[in-house]
Parts: sequence; C-alpha cells; structure tokens
Amino acid sequence: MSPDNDNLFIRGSVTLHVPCKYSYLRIIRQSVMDLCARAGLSEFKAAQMEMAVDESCANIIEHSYGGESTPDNEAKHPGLRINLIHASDRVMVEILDRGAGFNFEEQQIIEPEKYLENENERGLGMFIIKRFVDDATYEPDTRAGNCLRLTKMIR
Amino acid sequence: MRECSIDVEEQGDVDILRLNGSLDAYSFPRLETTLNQLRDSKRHRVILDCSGLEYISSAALGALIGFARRSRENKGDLKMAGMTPRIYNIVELLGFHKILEICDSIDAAMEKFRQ
Repeated sequence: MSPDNDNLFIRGSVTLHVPCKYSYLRIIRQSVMDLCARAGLSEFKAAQMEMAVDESCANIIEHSYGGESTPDNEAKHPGLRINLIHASDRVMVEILDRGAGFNFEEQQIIEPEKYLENENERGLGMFIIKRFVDDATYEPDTRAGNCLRLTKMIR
Repeated sequence: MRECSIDVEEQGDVDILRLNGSLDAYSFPRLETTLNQLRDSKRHRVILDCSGLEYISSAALGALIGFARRSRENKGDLKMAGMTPRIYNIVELLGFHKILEICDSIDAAMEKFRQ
C-alpha cells in the first residue's frame, strides 16, 4: 500500500532535533507514542510505529553516521531531525540525517522465519521498518538531508 | 518511559532477570553483558521477568533468542514471564513466541523448569 500524500490536511506537527546518541531514542519513542495516542491510533498500531521509528533511528546512527557522536566528531554528526506529523487519516514520521545515507531499496529484508532458521542475531531491523508501517520511503541527499518517511494509517 | 534496569536474583539453579524500563540500542550493551556473565558462569536456566518491560528492540530480542538456543544446548532454557499485551503483540507479530517459551508468571516459569 502506498498512501497518497497529496492534499493532506496537517492537524498538528512536532519537530525534534536530537543528537546522534542512543540515549535519545527514548525521548523519540515517547514523542511518537504521544502523537499516535493523540491521533487516535490503537495501542497495537502505535507500538508498531514506535518500533519502526526506533529501529530506523538506531539504524541511521549505526549505518548512516557510522556510530554515535563523540566530542571529536560532533561536527560530522549533526544528529537527527525528526518531524512527527498528524495529517488527515495518518501519522507520518520523517527522519532526516546528514550522514552518508544508505541504499534503502537494496537493504535486505530478513523475514522472521528465515531469521529464526539461522544463527544470526541481527538483521531484523529492516523487516520492522518496512513491514510495521503502511508505507516507508527513503530519499537520499535532499536539501534537508537524507529523508526516511514512515506512514501509518489511523484506521 | 524509563531507562532499563536489569537485576539478577538467584533462586537455586535458576536466575531471575528483572527488566524494568526500555530495552533499546542504549541499554542493549547492559543486557548483553548480563547474558554473557550468566553464560560464562554456566548459569543456563533463566527466567526473564518482563512485567516492568516497556519496550524491547529487535537486537535485544535477537540476543535473548541466541541465549535461549545456547542454554538449550546445555540442558537449560530462557523463559519469559509476565509480558504485557503490548510487548506480547510485538513478539507474536515477529513469530518469536514460537521459539521463546512464554509463561504467565514467574511461578509458572519456575514450575516449567521443575517438570
């Protein structure tokens, strides 16, 4: 499903600027849950959106920035800008970064059944990012940075 | 939403790991260290008290599955107890309930180990 993003009525939005640190994931998740509750998503759908956003942000810090920022590399790790949007019949979360980006379409999705068959303990993140939401798109290198947009329909 | 605390309580040959808060990429190293310490000291029978668990990432779930697999090779197991519906829904959606034993309570998990 690819929801039509044209002619959306923005009911409310919040923007977070967070450093490239895993310790900030909690604040991002809490904000996602608050917006989802306000928009009327069921707790189950909100938990899926929460997990998709958390895995996305952790992936971006790890792969697009190559890890958390330190006092030495802060200039090259400007962090994440996160736009939380309640629009018409959906909740959208845009995650923008200024890292190296990655090839979103070519990222391998490991299905849970395959994941359980092998011994690899990592690799489920992309499955969650792409399947726990109704639409996931990635635009590298826009004027605002690399943009991962996750959309969850309210009903 | 709180940061995750992990407390280990020994009850005979079973260790109860009490998780409180969110298990994400930030708290994951703490979980990994705790599981490695249990494995190194050959403690292979573990119950995870999930009643205070608010969030769990895919990496943390992967580490738990890895620990359960290795424990079973050593005649042990890792059982999850007291999961909230929100966490259970995610675990079920990923199909992990088929590989991790999930019990209603710590007492029920203890009883499973006694069988």
